Amino acid sequence: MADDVLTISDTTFTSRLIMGTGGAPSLDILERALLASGTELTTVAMRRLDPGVQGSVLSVLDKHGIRVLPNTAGCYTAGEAVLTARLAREALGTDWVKLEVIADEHTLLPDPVELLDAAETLVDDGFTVLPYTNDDPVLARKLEDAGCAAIMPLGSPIGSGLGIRNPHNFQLITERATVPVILDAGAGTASDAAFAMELGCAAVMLASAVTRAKEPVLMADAMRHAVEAGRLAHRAGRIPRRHYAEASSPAEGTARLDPERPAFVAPARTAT
Amino acid sequence: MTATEHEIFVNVPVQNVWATLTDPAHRQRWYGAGELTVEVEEPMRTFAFRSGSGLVGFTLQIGPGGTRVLLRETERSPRDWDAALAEISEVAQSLS
Repeated sequence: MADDVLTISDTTFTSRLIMGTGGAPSLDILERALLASGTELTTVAMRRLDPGVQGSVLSVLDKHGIRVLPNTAGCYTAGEAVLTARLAREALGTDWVKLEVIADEHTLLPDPVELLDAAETLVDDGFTVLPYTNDDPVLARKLEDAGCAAIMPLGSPIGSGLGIRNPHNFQLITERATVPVILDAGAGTASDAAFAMELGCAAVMLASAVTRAKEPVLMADAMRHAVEAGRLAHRAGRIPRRHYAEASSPAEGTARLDPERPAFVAPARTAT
Repeated sequence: MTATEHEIFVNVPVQNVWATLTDPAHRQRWYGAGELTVEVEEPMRTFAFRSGSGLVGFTLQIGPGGTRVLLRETERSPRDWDAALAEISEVAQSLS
């Protein structure tokens, strides 16, 4: 597994689990969950942090050498997202941004028009853009063509825990993409993460599934293993689905039973 | 570098707030004279400019009975933004 790294832009990661920080019951639990997850890249919302405050999420990430990925959560227009990304760049000294432009507060679904507009502007401005997008293969292609460093389609709405609602679209996206495809939003439990990796995702991004679990640290550990297992299964290649059974043991070489003869004849013994 | 936030609610239409932010004549009241290097301008929604070596951004949201104004900056400047926002509120209301 050591040589099977995730590469985004020019940066490599050994972990394929990207964590979010929203919804954690406490900073201590968040810290332990992040460590259990093994993540090397974690998103933070610019609206939720003050980089100058000690004991903040940022100080936890810094303490453990986890790379910060600022996001534009809460932005409804391209202009807002561009502003937030630029604020993040200046405040945190990174040109990486997880781009979120949502259409409304009820569904939190991405606004595809504003998203593409913002992505083009930010790429032109030198940002490494990782857009949170719909599971739309056409939009995914347009975002990649715009120069995005990864594509982050949703499995289902943010925080819903509904898993991947349209696996077929995910396969279409992963088959065509030449940049990493990262499941973003919708994972509810470990099997969702494993499934995403089996479908060809390069990584999984999640927050609520861990931070809102009954035992966040335990779930973070489960997610870590699920992502690793899913990745291994994807590389190993699943067997084809068949309509009928196929015996796992070969039929050749099995004993033939002749109804005219006993199935087993004991060898004659020589009396001494 | 740091990021700070200030927020007010002004009980006037967003057009008034937008004009207060972007019209140089009105802007002089809360920011002072001089040219601004505008970085982001999205009518009635987002306005950001350079202030010294930092970036200052306003985001407007229409709410019931008025406009929410969010100000974010990347660098702690000596400017008293709470006072500036109070001035913005006053100017915007005078435009009604």
